[in-house]
Amino acid sequence: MRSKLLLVMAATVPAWAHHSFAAQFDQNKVVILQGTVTKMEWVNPHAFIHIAVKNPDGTVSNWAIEGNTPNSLLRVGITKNALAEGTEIAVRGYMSKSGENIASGSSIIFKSGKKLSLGSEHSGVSHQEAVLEWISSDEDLWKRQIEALKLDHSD
Amino acid sequence: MKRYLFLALFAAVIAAAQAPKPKAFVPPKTPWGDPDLQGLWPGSVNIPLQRPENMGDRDVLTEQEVKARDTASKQRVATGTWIEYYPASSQASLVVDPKNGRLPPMTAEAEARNKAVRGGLGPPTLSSPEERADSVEDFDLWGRCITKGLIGSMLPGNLYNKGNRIIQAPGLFVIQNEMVHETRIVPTDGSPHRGKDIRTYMGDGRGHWEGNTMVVETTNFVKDIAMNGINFALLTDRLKIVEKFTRIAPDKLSYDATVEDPGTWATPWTMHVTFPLDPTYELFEYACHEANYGMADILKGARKEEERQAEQRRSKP
Repeated sequence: MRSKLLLVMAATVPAWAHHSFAAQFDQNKVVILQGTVTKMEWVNPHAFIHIAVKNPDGTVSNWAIEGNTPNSLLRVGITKNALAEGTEIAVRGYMSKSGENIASGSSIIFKSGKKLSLGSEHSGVSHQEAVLEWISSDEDLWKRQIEALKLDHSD
Repeated sequence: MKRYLFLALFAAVIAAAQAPKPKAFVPPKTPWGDPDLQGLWPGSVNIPLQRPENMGDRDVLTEQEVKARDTASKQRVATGTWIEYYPASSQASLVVDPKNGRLPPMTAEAEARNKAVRGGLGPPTLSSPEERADSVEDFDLWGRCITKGLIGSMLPGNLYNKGNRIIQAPGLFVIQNEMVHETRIVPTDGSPHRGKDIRTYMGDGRGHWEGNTMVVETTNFVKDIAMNGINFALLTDRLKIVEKFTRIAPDKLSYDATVEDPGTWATPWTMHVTFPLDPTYELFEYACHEANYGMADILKGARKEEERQAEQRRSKP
């Protein structure tokens, strides 16, 4: 992998979209991507976040991250301003079986310290809380959070 | 004295017999005098279609069973992505007739017909592309963004977008579903069904009032439709669904649907759910095929896997 992409073995089985999740994404290939938001596609049946990921050789790879349906995202308080162009984020998800630069998105962390779940209303945690949970804007903590994403099996 | 005692006893028996029963809720009326069922009734409740065989005729869960169902649902949401959580109901199954909460067995003819579909794989379901994804024919109608069908559109506990809305007008009863943005505009003016050759995925519904209950009878379905929730069977052109909508409290809508398809089941069956009113729920457009890249990705992924397997075969001595 030339891009700043990490593959982690998945420990859990993800669930459904309105089509089969397992048929579209490889449940054994968890990816952690660090990049800059280039576009948010607020589309049905699932929203897409496009990010530019800088590779070690200086080139840039574009990735499409599939999230929940825009209706659900809106209901839990995520607006189009939440992922403005130029925002630095790290994403955890599963790679597409098609081999293209497409991944499912489960959790996102912002360099500013915000944390966002691209899933849905997780039991017991209101989404507002999840969106507004400030971790830190400290550079070291940002790195540690990315490390934590690699170990996160909650999705 | 005995006579007075007898009279007193007689009076007590009469009084007991006339004791006021709890009054049935009388729904408000529309300006044109129909029961008013209008509002937002999301299917935000967790009840499986069928009940486990070992439960027999018991139709209510114990407190412990409700907790277990709720925990399983929370786990499913916590370990999954893109799905919403709905609280568990104590209702054992959506199917209430037959009494064991299970669909009646399919006729032998239907079993054989369904088994023959897709070279023996059976009708497509949500998960069938995991087994084979040769073409769109391996996806069910929901996966293809076409429809959830009826009763699929009315099943509570959707993965997401569970909104339902009822709107009424003189001579019309309208049922809107957020998922796959279905809207059924049902005439209630006594007009007959369309001609038998005019067939659609959601069928042709005609409604009438029985007291405070709106009864919608739907026929004229497309033949061989694999409806969400029951898509193990391609239903026949003999399918008829009778739905009953009753507002049983200001914030509760009782819904029953009786499904009859002699080409599939020897006897009809009925599902029941009570929808809660949620005036705060907003229905947003769900233009499902707008960016249904998942369909193409799944087909491309399957071709990729074929290439990988062919490569493996070639590299074997």
